[in-house]
Amino acid sequence: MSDRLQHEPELPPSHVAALAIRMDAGGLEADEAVLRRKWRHNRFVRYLVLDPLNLIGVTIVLFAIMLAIVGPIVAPYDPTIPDYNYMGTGPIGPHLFGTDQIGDDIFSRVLAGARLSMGVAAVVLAVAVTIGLTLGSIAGAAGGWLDEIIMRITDMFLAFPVIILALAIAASLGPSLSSSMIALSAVFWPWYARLMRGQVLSIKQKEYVEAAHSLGASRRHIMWRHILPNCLSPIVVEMSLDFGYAILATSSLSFIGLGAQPPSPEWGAMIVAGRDYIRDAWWISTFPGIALTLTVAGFNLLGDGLRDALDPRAVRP
Amino acid sequence: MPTRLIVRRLGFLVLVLFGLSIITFVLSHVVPSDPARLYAGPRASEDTVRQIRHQFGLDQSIPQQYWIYVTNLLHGDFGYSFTTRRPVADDLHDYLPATVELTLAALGVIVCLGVPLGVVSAVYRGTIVDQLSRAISITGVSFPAFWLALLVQLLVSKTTQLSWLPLAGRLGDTTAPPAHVTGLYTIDSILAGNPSLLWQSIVHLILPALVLGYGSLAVVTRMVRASMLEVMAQDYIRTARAKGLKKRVVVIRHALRNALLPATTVLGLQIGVLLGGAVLVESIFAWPGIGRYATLAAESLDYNAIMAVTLVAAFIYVLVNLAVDLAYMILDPRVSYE
Repeated sequence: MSDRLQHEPELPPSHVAALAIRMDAGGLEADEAVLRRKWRHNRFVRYLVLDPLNLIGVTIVLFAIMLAIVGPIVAPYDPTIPDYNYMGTGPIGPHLFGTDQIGDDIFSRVLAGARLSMGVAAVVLAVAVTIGLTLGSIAGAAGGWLDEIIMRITDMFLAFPVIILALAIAASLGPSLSSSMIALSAVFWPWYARLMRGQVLSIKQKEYVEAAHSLGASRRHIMWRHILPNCLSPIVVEMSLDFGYAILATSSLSFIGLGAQPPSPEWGAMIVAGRDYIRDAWWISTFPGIALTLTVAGFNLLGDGLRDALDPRAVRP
Repeated sequence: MPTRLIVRRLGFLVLVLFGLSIITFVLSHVVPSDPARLYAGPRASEDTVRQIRHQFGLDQSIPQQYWIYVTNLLHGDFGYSFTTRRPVADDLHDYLPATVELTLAALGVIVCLGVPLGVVSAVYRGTIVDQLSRAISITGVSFPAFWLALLVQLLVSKTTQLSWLPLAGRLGDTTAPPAHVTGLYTIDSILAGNPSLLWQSIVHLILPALVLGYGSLAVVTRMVRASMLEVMAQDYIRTARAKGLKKRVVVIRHALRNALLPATTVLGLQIGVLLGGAVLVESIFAWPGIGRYATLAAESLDYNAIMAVTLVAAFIYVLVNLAVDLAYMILDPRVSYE
């Protein structure tokens, strides 16, 4: 046991000592988990709050989530009912971000878009992660021909450039926001399947799993109590990075014309709607563009920070 | 080089290509409710639709349809595009070189900007320089490529000092392209010995390549940074410093050389991102490549064209990654894929 601890030099010596003492008293996995969690908690604070860029990421993400929840309630106008007295006016007067060519209030649309764009990303990831984790853990745990079949199918999906496969699937289903959600779920799951399989395979080899085996624990118990909880850190990091990417990809499909259709206030669709007016009415696509870019940047910064905080081998100091 | 390994990888390549064809077949023949109706258009009579269904073999069983599809693919027949009203294979022949040229230029942008940014971040890690390089690369992955392209166009059109940069196309409207050899205008104009044409094709590449490459900058910067940090912690770097070599010499000659190798695999994966990004960037810059072709095809649900672009992009992506893996094995004999 002590050998293994030496191989994980990130754990501070005081914790190693405490761990060793408790291990002698039995019940090793539970205590190890508790100690690791405590220690991670400190790293969390150190990485996510003390690093200025990570802090910006956390702030943006929290703010974006808040907007998605309360945005449509606090919006001053209905996002799809035009104000014919102010058609295509700039960000002055009663319309904070201006209005588009038919008089829709951009500010209200950006707020409504927060819920829509982030909601789409959340659904896409929920579906992709569920499929990916299920298939990945089955492949990793079962091994043999089942593993081989699942992973070869995964490889085939991974052989396509993401946006291009999403385009093909969305086109095949017909243009709509729900097709782009299905398309994106279909391109994201293989990454999680592969990641999860790798995690399960490596954790299956750990001594504490072996110990649980020799104590007579059932396979189901080992899978749920020991393997799965320990697989989650890289999944969480990947999800945070992908959340931003899913928002971007949704907007890209809208840009191609396969995703959200006008007058939907999806941010990508709003940017496209303002495309032809960008010289004279820059605000139509600029405000949704800023909202989109900031939100995605927030999730990317958060993902980066989480990676550093959760992965002890990360090289960032 | 273990020949067995290469043979195995090539065998795997065949398997993947088989898988790709199944996926695009399902997407073009099975999922859409009535492809024949789409070909015929909404106003066509039921007879015409039936005729088209028969002509394209859509009235046969699914396995038979797949057999026809794959046989055609193997003969280089991607079907007929009803947006351009030409065989898709001819369209690809015309449009693919433009995308290849743009992707290579973007790759150049990534290498020229990403490697120095990564090195600087690693050497000055934790300082404001490091944070700045991280901020630059994060904005790259966070901008929707099509919006960035629009903004860049707007900026260039409003700035008189930048007005020499063209906003669209591969060459000026009145300029005839060089004789077709590779289809890459830069290379063809060198082969034709025409410096002014070469200059024109380079200036037309600048904006789209910058926008396209910017999106992948973060990944490469981070990878170079990470592998630089790993190398810089090695004993031989300390030795080199201890024997009195200048920091710059150690960083460039000793560390960078060893750190670049792992970064090359990331570049291979970025090809996929770039090909996807090309779909978005090409249509804003009116770049006549397969990306713009795919967007135009997507607008009218031209399945043959969409699936052909999908297949070709995946094929290029798979081949590039295979080549990167093999090159990696040659360059670093310590790597074993067994």
